[in-house]
Amino acid sequence: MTTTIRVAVADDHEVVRKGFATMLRAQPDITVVGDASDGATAVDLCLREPVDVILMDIRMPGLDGIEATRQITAAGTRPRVIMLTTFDLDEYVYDALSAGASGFLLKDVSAEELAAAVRVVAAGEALLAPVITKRLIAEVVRLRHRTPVPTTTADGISNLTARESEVLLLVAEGISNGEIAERLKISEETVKTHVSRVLIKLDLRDRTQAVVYAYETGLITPKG
Amino acid sequence: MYWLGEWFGRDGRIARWPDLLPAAAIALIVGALAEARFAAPDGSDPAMVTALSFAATASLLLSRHALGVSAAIVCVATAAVLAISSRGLITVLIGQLVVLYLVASRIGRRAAAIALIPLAGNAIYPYSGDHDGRGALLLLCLGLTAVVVGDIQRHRRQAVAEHMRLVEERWRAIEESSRAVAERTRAIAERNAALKETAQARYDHAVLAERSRIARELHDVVAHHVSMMVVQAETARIDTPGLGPEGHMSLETIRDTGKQALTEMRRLLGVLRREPDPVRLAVPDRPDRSPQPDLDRVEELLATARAGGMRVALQVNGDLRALPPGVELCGYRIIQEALTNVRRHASGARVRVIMFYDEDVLRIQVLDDGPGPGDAPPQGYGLVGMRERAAMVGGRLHAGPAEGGGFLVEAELPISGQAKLNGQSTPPSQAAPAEPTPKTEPIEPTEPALPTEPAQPTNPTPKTESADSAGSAGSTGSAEPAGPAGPTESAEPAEPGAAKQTEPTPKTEPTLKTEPTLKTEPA
Repeated sequence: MTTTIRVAVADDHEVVRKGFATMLRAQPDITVVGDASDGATAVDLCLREPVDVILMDIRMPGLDGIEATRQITAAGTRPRVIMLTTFDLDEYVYDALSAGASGFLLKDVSAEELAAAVRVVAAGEALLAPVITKRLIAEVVRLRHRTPVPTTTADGISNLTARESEVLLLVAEGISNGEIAERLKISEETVKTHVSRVLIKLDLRDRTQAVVYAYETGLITPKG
Repeated sequence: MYWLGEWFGRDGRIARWPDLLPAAAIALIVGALAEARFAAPDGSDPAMVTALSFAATASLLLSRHALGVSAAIVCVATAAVLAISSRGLITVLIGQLVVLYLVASRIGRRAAAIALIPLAGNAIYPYSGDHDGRGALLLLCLGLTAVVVGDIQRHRRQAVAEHMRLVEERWRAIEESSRAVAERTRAIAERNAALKETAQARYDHAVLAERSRIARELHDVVAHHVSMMVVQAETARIDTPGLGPEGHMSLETIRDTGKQALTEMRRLLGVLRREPDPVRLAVPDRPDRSPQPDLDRVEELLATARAGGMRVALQVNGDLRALPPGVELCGYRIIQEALTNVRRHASGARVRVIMFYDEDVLRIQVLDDGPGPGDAPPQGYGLVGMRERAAMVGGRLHAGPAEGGGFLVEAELPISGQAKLNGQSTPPSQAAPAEPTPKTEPIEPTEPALPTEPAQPTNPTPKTESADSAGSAGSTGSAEPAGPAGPTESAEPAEPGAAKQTEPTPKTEPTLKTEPTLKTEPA
């Protein structure tokens, strides 16, 4: 991957904006193209600039990070969104993921972890720590009890081949391409192809959204 | 009524009569025997007369337990005696009258009529056949009189008995109802105790819930600052030119320590978050995703309140500056809660929010001109929350009716952690839910609407050359002679009653305007 990843940072604290920008600029394959101090500015920035990945604080004055994420992903612009939190607060996880976020990062992340996370998300991989996945499941269970799952979103599944459905199920379990390849006894390249076909067919941004999709449509029943 | 009961006994019978009767009967027997012996009718059989006399009088002894038998004997004896002589025998006739009275008074009219037959028969057709009609008639009249007297007696006794019964019934009813009243009183007392207990429990629960909510917010603030430290340490590690390996290491150590602290705080926050939060009335549908507020955002808060139709004015006095985040958060939340209370209890009232940045205390006043708390003591969990918040930063809060009507919330929050308010900051959980004291002295940093008290007489502030500057120094300033008044305030000789809102250090944007009078802004 020789192209540089264009990153923006949205946080209402300058310390975070400048700090994360500094940490990312130290990486040769990453360039910081802008920052925003609130949600509305972040949305504007993404419409104006070609951004690959935006680091988005959840708690911002005015338009908060989750709403900004929803607007950015709804606008169909390119950037994938990584939510920044001080705490991995339960109630934000599901909201952020269903708003279209691709992953979570705590603000006390180290420079190396930050760069790695940006690369992972830019490549369309899921950035979900196991603990977050667990929370997601718990949250889905809670919501499932409350409201019936909309079935309309599940229509796309019928377009998947048997193999693709199988791959989607494994993706939803949060395992990597390598592991999927091992389990299905196929090459990792083939897995990648399947995953990207699934994403295209279901019109999903990335693996994270594939996980959310699988849970939301009830394709996967959380085991608790 | 007492003597009557004593006299007649509980069932209405003549109590003393039975005791007299045997003695009278014995006297009558003796008389009868004497009469039979010495005054027997001429030509009669003495033995027969004696026997009849004895039978008639002695049978009276039976009258108490077997009145019927005794009456029958006396009647037969009377008839026999009258058959012997129309004069009869005095003692036997007395016995007859007594028996008639007793039958009438104890058994009834019909029995008395039957017992009267011998005398009636004698009056119609004298048994002795000597045609002494007048004597026989007189005898019948006497008999009738005895019956009538007995009958009256009987009715009286019945009436008395009935009356006694009624009295007793009433007495019993009274006893019963008093017992019921006692029982109800006890039940009410029990229920009151239970209610009180419940109220106390609910209050305690509210306090706990509020505390954990406040603790959550404070942790949030602290965690935010720690994570800023981590970001800065990490930035410095990457960014600082010429940083040797040692500097590198120490910055890494700072970062890792901060991360550890955050991990611990996350765990703690997880515990705090598990607490249910039943008290918070205005629970947002979704979690609040804006940053923890500070006093810079009070103007924003007021704008929201105004948009909701509230007429609210803000006044900022003293040395406006950034305070420790915990104090800022606390002050913001107190103002927010106080405004919520106004909206809830005094909608339509005008509100004035005053912040006074003293040297080491932030004073906050939220005053409305609504109806005030009325007779009910100021209650509610909003106040609990405010009090808990103030206590959490070592300050105190008072809420109650304002002097000129309306409701006043005032808080004093020490700015540095060490600054203790003089004495009486009791832990609010031990203080009564509602403070009984109606009003403590108001802070009144500047009180443009009440300019009539030029100088507080107890205020020994040396800066007395300008009367209203003493007033604006605040009544709380009495302990600290030169301290609390804004440093620039006393310099300007403003006209009396003018507000002295100065902004000595205009750190923030000029949105924190000063407003000398209550503004009414519809928008």
